[in-house]
Amino acid sequence: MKLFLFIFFIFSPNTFASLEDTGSEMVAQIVSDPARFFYEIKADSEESLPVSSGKTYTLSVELFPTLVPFTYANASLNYNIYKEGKLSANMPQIDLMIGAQYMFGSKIAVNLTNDINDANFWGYDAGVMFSNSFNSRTRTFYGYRHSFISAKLDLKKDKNYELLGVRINSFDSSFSENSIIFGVETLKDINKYWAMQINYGLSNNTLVARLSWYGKWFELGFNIYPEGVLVVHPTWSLRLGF
Amino acid sequence: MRFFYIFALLVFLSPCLYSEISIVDYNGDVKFRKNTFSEWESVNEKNMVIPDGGAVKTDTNSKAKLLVNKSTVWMKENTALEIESTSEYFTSLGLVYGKIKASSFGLVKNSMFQIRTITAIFGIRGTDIMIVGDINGKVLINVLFGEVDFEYAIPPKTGKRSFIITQGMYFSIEDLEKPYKMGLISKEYENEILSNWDPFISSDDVLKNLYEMDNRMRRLRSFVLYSKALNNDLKKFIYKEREIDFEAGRTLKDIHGNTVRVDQRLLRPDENSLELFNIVKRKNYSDYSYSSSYSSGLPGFKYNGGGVTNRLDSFIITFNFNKPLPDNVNKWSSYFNDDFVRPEWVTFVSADITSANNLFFAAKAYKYDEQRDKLVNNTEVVGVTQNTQERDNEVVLTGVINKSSLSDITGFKFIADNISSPDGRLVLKDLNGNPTSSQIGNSIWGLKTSASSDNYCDNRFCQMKSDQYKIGDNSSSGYFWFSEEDYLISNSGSIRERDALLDSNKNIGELVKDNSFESVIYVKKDSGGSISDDDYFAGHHNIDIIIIPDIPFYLFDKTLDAYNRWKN
Repeated sequence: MKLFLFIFFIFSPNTFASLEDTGSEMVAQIVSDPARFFYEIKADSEESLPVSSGKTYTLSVELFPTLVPFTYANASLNYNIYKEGKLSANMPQIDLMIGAQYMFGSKIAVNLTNDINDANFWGYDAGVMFSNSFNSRTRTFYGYRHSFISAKLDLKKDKNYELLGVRINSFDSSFSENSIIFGVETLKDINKYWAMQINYGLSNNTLVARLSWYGKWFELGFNIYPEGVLVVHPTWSLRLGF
Repeated sequence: MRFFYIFALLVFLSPCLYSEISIVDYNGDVKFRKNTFSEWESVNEKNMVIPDGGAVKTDTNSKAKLLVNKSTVWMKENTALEIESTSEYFTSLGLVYGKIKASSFGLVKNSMFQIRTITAIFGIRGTDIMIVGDINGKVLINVLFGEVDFEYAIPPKTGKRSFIITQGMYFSIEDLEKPYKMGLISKEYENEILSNWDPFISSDDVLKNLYEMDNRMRRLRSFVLYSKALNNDLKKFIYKEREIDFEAGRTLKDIHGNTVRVDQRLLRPDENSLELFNIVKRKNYSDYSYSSSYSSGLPGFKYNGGGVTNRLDSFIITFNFNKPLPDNVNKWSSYFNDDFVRPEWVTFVSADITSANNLFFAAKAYKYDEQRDKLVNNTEVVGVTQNTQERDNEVVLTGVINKSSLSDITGFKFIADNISSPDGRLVLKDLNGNPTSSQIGNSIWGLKTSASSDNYCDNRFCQMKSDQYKIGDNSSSGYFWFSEEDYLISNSGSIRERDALLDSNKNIGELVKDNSFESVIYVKKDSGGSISDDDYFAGHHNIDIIIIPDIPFYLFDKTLDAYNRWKN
């Protein structure tokens, strides 16, 4: 019975109407500020955790949603340049962070369709991260990161494009943000961590809250963008420490 | 000669490479020996230097604290430690048995600080670790901070020979024939490492570090709680963002130079209705005449009220639909696109609500006409059959009522008191839509006649409009004039010029934020078919409303398709 009700709900006309409304609302928001929307997708792939204890650098690739379905080829590298307590007991661990993203799907789309003259989405980020041990299992971390994204879409001029009732126009815009990061990381088991953090963008007042669980290979998490088109982003990434 | 220089350089640099280990403090029976072949001697002074190849051991109830370079090693009772090497780049100590704590930092690049047991070598790269070992090869290491390079002294048959033990972990070898164990450090061991191991420490000071750690943990918990609270705030913020679609406010100057605060709310009086409520507040409402600098330059209408303090006006638009409205505003678009959704009635009510018991209002109402399939404003809105062409003219409601009766007007609960021979009075209607005997204050309705006047400003968005209304549909009841001054104003109170507005490069959103609509409404007496300077309701001079377009624009955007459908 529950299954029947669930199926009824999913396929009821009201549900579709509601989804369409929500979709058109989202499309309208994306069209009004496309660079910001693509920045949020790109920001999911930005590594913002300190290099784990015992490792020298961390390489991460966001699989969802950045790579799939948004076709952003992405990689982030956190390199540890100073281990906590090596020279002085009070000196924090210092990591350098760099990352780059490129939406290869946009070029494929240009080649596959005659409706798009050009499409180019790319970005980078760089920053520094500090981390201190509160106790043997808990570290606090804080840092700064500069992010940039360029979003360009050039549609054929002689056609009107609509998505869920919202007219899509060509755009060529960029978005840069300077964020400060605060967070806590807790060791839960061998190679298993839990972290929560808040990133605040000084340039555009963007706010992101991140919750993540990560182990030897993968990181799972939720990124919450209160003012974003998609408020909650479930994330899944490959995260390797060396 | 060259060999001499090299030799001299080595001699010069040798103090830099050389370091030594010393017993900086001890308690109880602590012994040392200078090398493997020498006898054990009691330590009888502090800062005693132990040479490489020597050893230190503690007996029952004794402790020692050793210092090498910037690293410290604490020995608990019944512990023996061999000093293998203490150079700047390579420090190696051998734990024969017992329990030690090591705190190492300040190691230069490529240097190594290691502690060996019978079974393993621990390269220390962190700050605080504790190692427990015995002569049978059992070993337990707890890494509180930093990390430790582990390497088997005798390589195992299978598995990795070396790996890193990170902070927060323990590592133990219980039996050489069995696999090692690794896990999270226990609270008990963590507290033990954190406690002060100095030989002459008082019992109170032993736990001082633990108290500090507890304080730090409390601060951390506070941070986590703060973060959780922030997350909750974020959620509220998200909902607030949604709710803000239904409220807006602005402070601006009106056409007469008064500072005005306009607050706008979108309410749902019931599940079928939507009410846009504008409240217009003025601390001081100054007297004006058309000779003032705020005049539109047209004759206008005489204001008899003088200056007023704490002036309150409101403008309320109420829509009633034949189907319940969705709760979620995002569903409105599909709701209004539904062909079966239509408005039953609409009221536009302007009122001076400064005095709660003497509200002066003026209103227009529209009712859905099924035959015409559109909203109409004629005598049908007051329940009087529209059976003549004249009765199809516009109807206006006005009067002086108390606060509680305002909802009777906005809620379309009024009707002409005598439907067959209407004299213009308004009463409440019953559930069947018939007139009751309850009159709604001193309220009347009027039917528009052909007498009217319109004056438009040349190049500015303003007009002076005045229409004569017959009270009820009975000439003997008399006439009144319903007059309006309408302006499109900027936030500084100046009238917008057509050319400047149309030529501006601002987008629609910016225009919405920069402009307001002001309407000053008068109900005047009739003087032989012309408008009089006297107010129809003595003591009630005008209604001065300002409408900010924020929510109407949003609603218009949401309901544009439906609006076009109803309009057509």
